[in-house]
Amino acid sequence: MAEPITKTLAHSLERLDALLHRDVNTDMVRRLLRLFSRDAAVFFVDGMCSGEFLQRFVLDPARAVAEVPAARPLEQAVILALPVGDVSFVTDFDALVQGLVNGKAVILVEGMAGAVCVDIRFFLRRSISTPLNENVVMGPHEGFNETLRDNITLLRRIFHTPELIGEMTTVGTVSPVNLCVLYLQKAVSPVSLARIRERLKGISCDHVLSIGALEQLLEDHPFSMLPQCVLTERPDRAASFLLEGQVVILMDGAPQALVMPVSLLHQFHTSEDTALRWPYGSFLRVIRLCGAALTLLLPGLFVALVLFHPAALPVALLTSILESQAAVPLSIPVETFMMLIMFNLINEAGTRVPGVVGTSLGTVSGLILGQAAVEANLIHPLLIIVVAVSSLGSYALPDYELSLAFRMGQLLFLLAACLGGLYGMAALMLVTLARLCALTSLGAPYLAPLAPRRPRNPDLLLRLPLWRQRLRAYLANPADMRRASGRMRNWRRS
Amino acid sequence: MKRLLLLLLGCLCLGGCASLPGEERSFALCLGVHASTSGVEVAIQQPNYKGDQKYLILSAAGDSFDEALSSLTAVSPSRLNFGQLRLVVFSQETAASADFPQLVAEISAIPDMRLNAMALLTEDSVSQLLEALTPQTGVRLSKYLDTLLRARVELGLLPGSTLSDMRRMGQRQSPALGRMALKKEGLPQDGLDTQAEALSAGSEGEVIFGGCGLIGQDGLLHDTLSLRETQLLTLLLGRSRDLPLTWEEAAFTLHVKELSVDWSQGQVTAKVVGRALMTRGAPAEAETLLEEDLRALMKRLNAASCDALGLRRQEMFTHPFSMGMSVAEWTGEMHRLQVEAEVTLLPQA
Amino acid sequence: MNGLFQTRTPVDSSLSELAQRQEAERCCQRAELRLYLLVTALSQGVTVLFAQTGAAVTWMTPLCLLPGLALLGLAALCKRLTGAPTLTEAFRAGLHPLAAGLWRGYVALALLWQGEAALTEVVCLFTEGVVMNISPLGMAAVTVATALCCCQRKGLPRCVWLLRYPLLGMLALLFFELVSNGHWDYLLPLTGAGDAVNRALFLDMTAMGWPLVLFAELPARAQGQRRDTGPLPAVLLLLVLLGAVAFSLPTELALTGKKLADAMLLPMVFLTPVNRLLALTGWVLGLLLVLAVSLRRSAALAPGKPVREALICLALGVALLLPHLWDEQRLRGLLKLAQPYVLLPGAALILCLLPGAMLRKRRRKP
Repeated sequence: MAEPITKTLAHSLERLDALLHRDVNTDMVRRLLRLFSRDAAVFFVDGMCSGEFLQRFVLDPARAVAEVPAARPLEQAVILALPVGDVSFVTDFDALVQGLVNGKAVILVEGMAGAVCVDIRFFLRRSISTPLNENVVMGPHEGFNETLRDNITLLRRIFHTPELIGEMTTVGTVSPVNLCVLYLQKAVSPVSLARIRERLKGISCDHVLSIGALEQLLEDHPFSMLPQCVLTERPDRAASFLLEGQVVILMDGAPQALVMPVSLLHQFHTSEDTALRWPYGSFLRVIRLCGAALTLLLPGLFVALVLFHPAALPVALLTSILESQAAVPLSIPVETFMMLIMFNLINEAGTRVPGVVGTSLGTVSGLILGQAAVEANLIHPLLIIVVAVSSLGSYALPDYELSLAFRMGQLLFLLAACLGGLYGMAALMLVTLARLCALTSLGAPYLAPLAPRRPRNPDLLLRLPLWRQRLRAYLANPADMRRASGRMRNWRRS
Repeated sequence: MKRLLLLLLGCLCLGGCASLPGEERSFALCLGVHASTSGVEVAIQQPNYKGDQKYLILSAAGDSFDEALSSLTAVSPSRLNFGQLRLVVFSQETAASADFPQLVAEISAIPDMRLNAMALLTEDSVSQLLEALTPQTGVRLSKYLDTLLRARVELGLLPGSTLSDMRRMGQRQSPALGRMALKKEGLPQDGLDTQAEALSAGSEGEVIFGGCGLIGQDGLLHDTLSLRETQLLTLLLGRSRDLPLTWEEAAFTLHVKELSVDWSQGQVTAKVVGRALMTRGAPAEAETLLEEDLRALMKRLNAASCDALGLRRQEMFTHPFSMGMSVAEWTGEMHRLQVEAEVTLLPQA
Repeated sequence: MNGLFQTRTPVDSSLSELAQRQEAERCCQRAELRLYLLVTALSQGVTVLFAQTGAAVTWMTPLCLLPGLALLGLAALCKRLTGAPTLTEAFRAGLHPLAAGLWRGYVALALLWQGEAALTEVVCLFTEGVVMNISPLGMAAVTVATALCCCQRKGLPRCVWLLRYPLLGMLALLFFELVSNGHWDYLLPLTGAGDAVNRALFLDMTAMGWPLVLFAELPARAQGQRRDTGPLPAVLLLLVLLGAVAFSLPTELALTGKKLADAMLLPMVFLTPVNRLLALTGWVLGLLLVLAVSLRRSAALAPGKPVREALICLALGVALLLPHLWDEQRLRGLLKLAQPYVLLPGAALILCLLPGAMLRKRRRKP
């Protein structure tokens, strides 16, 4: 039960000083003033409110009515006196403190059993800029930033319709974080929406640090290696998910949107696929899928073929491999593991060090270390090509988390290849597929619409023509599956 | 339960790491076998990955093939693998000995054996032959052998039988095995035009390939054919469609349009219809020459009880519910067969 | 933009959506059973029928499948008479719940027997055929562990459904190579190894098509849904594949394979190395799937969690015990001993159900 705000200003000030720890919290500012011939006080957090707005919209109007008697009930008179759009009246200390820490100014007046919250928030924030990790050649170049309001605005600018619903909520018990659950009213599946609401309500932790942490608290299978949500920093991609009937969650302080439910194939799609004409989009998608297959299987296949099934290799290639291998003191599996670990090391180091240095580090490590290792007969030259190609494949994956999952899977497949050759890899593939098929994202099958079969657009492995994509994803509201009635290109060529 | 499973898999993985296959392997490209009353001699040619010498020739002898192979494995610098084998060479003495079918079965049963390796016969020493078998500079032996043998089969100079054919045909069809020899000895070159002769003599270093040996119903070598007879045999087998054929009286390139070899009770008839690009002589003369040679060839095949043309396969269709004649009966039937050849040469368009 | 999501054109009610989803799951289940039937029958066709009769496999296979097909027909009739969606329900409705329990027990035991046969084949293939550096114990444990990892209630049927096109592609590739190496005379003599052998073999192999009765356990299709082809595609594919095997190898050679591993490897020996590798990998995958499906389905038939876990422990126990019993001939002998009788209990139960179902139909009529 929240503690109500009393009519006695002295008591409220005392209580609020204690709640805000004002004796040590020096940026919690209190300013006493007169309002409607009564004592009053305004509280705000230094740096989260605009000084100019405070002066123009709170202090100046307050001075004008400082000794004027109130002609209406006090709370109405105070609200009417302030020329601000977003003003609310709260009656308990919890809501008051919440508004305050969110950057609002709070006004308390002697004799008023409540407080008025005035939204004059203004804090430093990053401007809208190009997405850092999801670059495209064609399509918009703006990405989300860390401000929830800006991110919602970016989506509202795409959908000029009230059908885009944004439900504001918070997670975290001690330090709640603001969230916005966005969906298109008619497109969203009521089941998915209910599940999201239920899960958000069921999160019980003191604070959710990042959207990645939120993802871990929401996903169906926390022990699975594959991500069951999509994180995107592109508003257009988030919009495409909304159109498909999926739910987008924006979080204050996170420059990414969390999308649920998703299938594995969604994670191979980029916004560019739709922006480009269908043959180009399909081509890029095939390249991406090949990249994924190469990342996952190529090192394992190399080891399996050389070690276990040499008869399946052309003899010229085999001879060339064995000739160069004869000079290397390490065995092929050890070499391959070493190379993959090295690659991951270079990748991680390149990500952590600042921009230009990171690029140079990658080049230096890749070229010089590789060259030196070959010359010192530590590494087989063909292996460098194998590892480089498989690494390129991992970079072609549009989703960072998926790329990490594939890089881990690559090591597992390599281990399987070392133990059982192609048979080991096939067995691991079977186990992986069986588990993948059993996986769900927000209760929806992870490999649908492939397995099990669901109604679908010709936009899965290939991106076939846009005008044939009349259906939403199987994850959408089953009562409104069609995106268009009749032909999409409803005109005749003259 | 899941933890138990993971534990089990982990233990197995750790256990499995200790039993990785060895990486040190030698891939034999050629295998030579000579069996005589004194024992079996086996030689292999394999790429050398470590030294200056590009190819190693290893040989060993033993009382049986298995014993010789074990000795060879013992002297080999690394584990032997026959998964990339290109050529199996048998001495003609071996092919004529009673142990030949058993030997072929033993070779085919070697683990990882590449059964698509071509089987050839030689009159020379198999070790010497492998020593002499070196490719032109800059070409790998495997590539060299692949190209060379394919070209010989296309020209009709080799019948192209492989270990796989020998194993699969069983007693339903007899193989005709190609021949190879050291260049100093040479093979009969009669009837080849200059182009084929040049190919035969010039490009393969110290070894020449051509001709074939006829394996009878008993699985043993009974006869050998000259280069032109081999060409005619590959023509009847349908393996080469364009053949350069040369006689003293006529020379032409034959492009086969229709071919049939039909067996009926007591008679075998070969019909060839083709276009002839005449370089010497008249088509009518060429037809007669070809018919005569085909008849002679079929007689030789029958005399050697070599059913290379697969007549028994046709005979089996007359007894669909049983294996039909026994080997001895079929051998007798082959000796009694009448042969007929009909050749029609169409003028070049 | 509005046109994209504001054109409200309801195409399905939520009920038909549910029906669609159920049908999708049914498709997966059907694919799983078809694969199960294909692999088990192909395995028996190659290792027993082809290895013992040669070319006669082409007509012996459909003959040996006939009892299973007849039983499936009877089961379908019982389902129709009782109006039950599955055969177990038909037993419950037409006879007694105890009969349903007996039927479930029979199916579970038959599945386990088939799983054991698949396990034996995998172990045998790797320890005696494709010789790898692994002991029978290690191989058995790896196989069972892999199969148990695949045992996902919904995941496994969906996985089979997902793999159907890659597997079909692989089979097509192998089929074309087998056929391109074939000769028509290899299909002769039609009687194979002789009438006496064929007769004895037919009696032994009547249970070859026992997995066909599993199709009777699939829930009935909903009103208005397309009639499905049931096991027919798997049976046709089986006949085509065994025909291709017979077409590519002469009977004399087929009869030489005395050991299980030799018999399993024989159809692949003459393939090109890449295709041989592909065929072997596909074979191993198929056997692993059979083992996994056997375990999953028998565990699903178990009445409770303790029984299910006991079943899994039994599988693990067998895997650990198998190498100590490892004498190929003895183990195969044990499995073969049960082979002729696998279908009998099922046939007896269904024959008992038939009059009950007829009575129930008569009772329902008024």
